[in-house]
Amino acid sequence: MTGLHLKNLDIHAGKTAIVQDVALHVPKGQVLGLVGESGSGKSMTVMSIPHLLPSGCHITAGHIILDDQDLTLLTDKQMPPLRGAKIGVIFQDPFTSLNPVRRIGDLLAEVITRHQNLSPAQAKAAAIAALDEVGLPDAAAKARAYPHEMSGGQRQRVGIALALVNHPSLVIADEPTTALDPTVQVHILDLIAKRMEDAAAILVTHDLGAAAYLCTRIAVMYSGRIVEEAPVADLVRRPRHPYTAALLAAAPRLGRIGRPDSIPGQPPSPGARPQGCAFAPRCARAAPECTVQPPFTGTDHKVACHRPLQ
Amino acid sequence: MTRPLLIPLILMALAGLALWLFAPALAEQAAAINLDLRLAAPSSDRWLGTDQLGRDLAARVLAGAPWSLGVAAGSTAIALTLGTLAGLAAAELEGWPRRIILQIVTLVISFPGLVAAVAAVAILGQSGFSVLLVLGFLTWTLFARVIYAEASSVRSRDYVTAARLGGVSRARLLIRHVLPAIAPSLIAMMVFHFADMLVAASALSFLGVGAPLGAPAWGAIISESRPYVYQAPWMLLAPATALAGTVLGLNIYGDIIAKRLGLAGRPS
Repeated sequence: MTGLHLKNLDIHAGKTAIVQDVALHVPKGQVLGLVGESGSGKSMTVMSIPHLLPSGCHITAGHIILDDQDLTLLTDKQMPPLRGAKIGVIFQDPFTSLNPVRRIGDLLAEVITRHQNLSPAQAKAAAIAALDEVGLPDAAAKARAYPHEMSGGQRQRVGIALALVNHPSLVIADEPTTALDPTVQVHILDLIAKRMEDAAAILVTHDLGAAAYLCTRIAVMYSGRIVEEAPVADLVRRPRHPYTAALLAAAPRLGRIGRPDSIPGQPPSPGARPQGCAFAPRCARAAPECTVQPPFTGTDHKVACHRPLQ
Repeated sequence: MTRPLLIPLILMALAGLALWLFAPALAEQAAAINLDLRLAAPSSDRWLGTDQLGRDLAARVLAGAPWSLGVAAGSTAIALTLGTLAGLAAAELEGWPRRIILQIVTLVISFPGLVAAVAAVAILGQSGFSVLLVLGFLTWTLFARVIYAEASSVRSRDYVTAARLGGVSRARLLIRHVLPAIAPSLIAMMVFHFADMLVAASALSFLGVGAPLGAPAWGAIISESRPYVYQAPWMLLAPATALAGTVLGLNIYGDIIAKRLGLAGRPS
């Protein structure tokens, strides 16, 4: 059983449930898109994998299994060696995720020597090779540069090199293109697709376009739960959960006349979720049975809704 | 550091080196009693005049500099080291270890400084080294608080999380990623603290605490001058000017550093 399995994951902040009953499977070599509004719990879900939840938040139930190893059983001492080695994370903002007072090559060498037994000279060579692999011209000179000497796209390439330099089996990309110019975004998505080799990958985003471009499957989160999960083409063309449909309709698109349809209301705060389906108060199709939590059912196209579309 | 900031440091280092080289000669001259020249006014021969035993005040002030500056430097080094370690540890460790460190800081801050220092030196014995220890251990909390506050905010920056996610160990994370971001305030604080410790060490030696009897510590010379203030004001002016000038210079230097590094400057 390779790849990443999340099994019935619950995350609590104190007594408040933040993430509930999240189940996901990402096989090796596939990219799963995790989409949802801010506060839907998607960042919480992925940050629980390397044990980097904000203080006060804990995994309270479920399992995270990466290549047959249950990460929820690891202690605080056992986890750090896996970070950067088995799990690589690409950050949202390349302007803040590189230490401004360290040279690019040193940042890479630090992560390389942490996990591979190399001499400083070998680590330096490996750092330059890693920069070369992410398509930075004149990698040797870039290794001596400081982050401020580079453009946003170049920095994000460094961020990708940092995440992937030790060939992790899981890559988490947290909004990797949000802070970049549109012209650079596709290059960065292509690079992630090309460099991740046979790792399992999760792309956290609220850019459905980016998700559709890069991912094999997409999972939609709403108020701490996964409400729909399906192959990309299927989900985009035939959304079954009313929230997914509303999300797709709310995305601004070139070539469409008029204002995108916004979803009325706001997602409930984690402490004040309604009984049953959390989307019901904003849902046009809500019915009396929606006060009971719907099961997450289906084989290839899974949905948690009593009255799905179609 | 840019060059204008470096020049005063180089000058201070050179002055320190010269004092150290000429220390034996200076000490001899500072102790040379000449009762024929008691309380002599400044002249071309004795630039700063003489004291009640006819000793050359210029020699005494210079000979006293290593003691006063040494105690200030030593206690600043202790306070800086302890405070940095405690502040970083408190920022990185969560839960009860952090609470214990912060409680210790609060406890030490609540000591009445001067009384505690006098009592502690009385126990440890009259020497520059015990003053240095006592001042260091009484004032490290100032560094600890600032470093804890700054490290807590730096620690949540993306690039620190990114390094953590690269598997970088906690100790390395603090030293290579958090500390460099705090270094500017640390440097400025260090200069201000050095000035404060110079005043504190002089205050103690004025009270007769710390400096061995007869040693030309600045505070001790000021204390000796008290009966002769109207008769021979130069006896007070020489060490007092040295002390005030050094403290003023350090504070101005600290302000320049703080301004250059984009900090708010000395908190009043």
